[in-house]
Amino acid sequence: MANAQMAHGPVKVITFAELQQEMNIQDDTLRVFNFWATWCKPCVEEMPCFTEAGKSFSQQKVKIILVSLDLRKHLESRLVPFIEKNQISLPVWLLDAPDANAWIDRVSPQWEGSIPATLFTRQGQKYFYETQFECNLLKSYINQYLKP
Amino acid sequence: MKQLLFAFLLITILPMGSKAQGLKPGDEAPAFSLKNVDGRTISLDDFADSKGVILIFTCNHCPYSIAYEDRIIALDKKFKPLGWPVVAINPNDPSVQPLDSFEKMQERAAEKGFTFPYLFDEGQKIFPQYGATRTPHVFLLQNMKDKFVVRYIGAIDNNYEDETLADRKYVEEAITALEAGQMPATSFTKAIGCSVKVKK
Repeated sequence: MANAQMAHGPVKVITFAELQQEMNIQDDTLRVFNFWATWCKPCVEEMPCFTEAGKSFSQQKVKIILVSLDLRKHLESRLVPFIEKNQISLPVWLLDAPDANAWIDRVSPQWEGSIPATLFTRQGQKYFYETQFECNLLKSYINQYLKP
Repeated sequence: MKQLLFAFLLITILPMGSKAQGLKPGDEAPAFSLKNVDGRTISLDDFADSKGVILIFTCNHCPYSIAYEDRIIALDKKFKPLGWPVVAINPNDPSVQPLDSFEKMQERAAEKGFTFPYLFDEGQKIFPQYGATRTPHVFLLQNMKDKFVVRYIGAIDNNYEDETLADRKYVEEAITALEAGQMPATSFTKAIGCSVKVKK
């Protein structure tokens, strides 16, 4: 699908190719991709941990991206209101790629397809977790993966 | 000390990440006997006269399941007359997700006019035996007379958002292959779905 990046208030709608481009950057910034959706209860529960980590690590080379798997048709009705209501300041990208079988393995072959799921990337290294994070654990992973 | 702490955390997180071993194509399908929304008990054995069963773990609350509801009804209408009926199972614990209670299942089945059994995995004993991890999650079973064998596991098609844009209809393709005496070319796909809801 040849849809260009579109801005919808706080949300950027992206294709898988665009996500992959960001995942493949091999600089010394630790990127944390949190795959979630507004309808996913454990995702919503762990979201404050990511928001908090975003603040704690704001002076370090850490970029946290919330990759939403909400349906494209729920962008205006559910996703944007959720972000506004919860005052989420982290970047939110809506992954508009409904052929999930084509890309799940390219995020991680370990991924069964459930969310929440989180991918850490830095300097070509990838670490993947298909689990709900607790705040302390998330922080300790970020600290660990930030080390050269 | 930090290393130690990290090692400790790693050990404690591992059980959360480990998955029950699921079925693979070619495996025998575990038997089940579960309560249907109409109050009757339905067993896999009840389908001894069909060519197979389109077994779908699905539920009320999940937007991906809802997006596929009409397609599940259409599958049943198309394939039940050919000997491949749909059987849906809700694997969720309603104490975790109240929208998936047995009563709510009855309401949803009536509202949508489900033409197939919609069973409740009471006590959550069946979904782990299949290795269902999300909803919707399809297991296509072929009746080999002495047992049912799994022939396809995964998604219904390759576009959860818009049926008209799906150019791979995995379940239909698999049944067509089996009807022709062949194995499905695609026997396993991954999909995004709602995780099966269990108590922590």
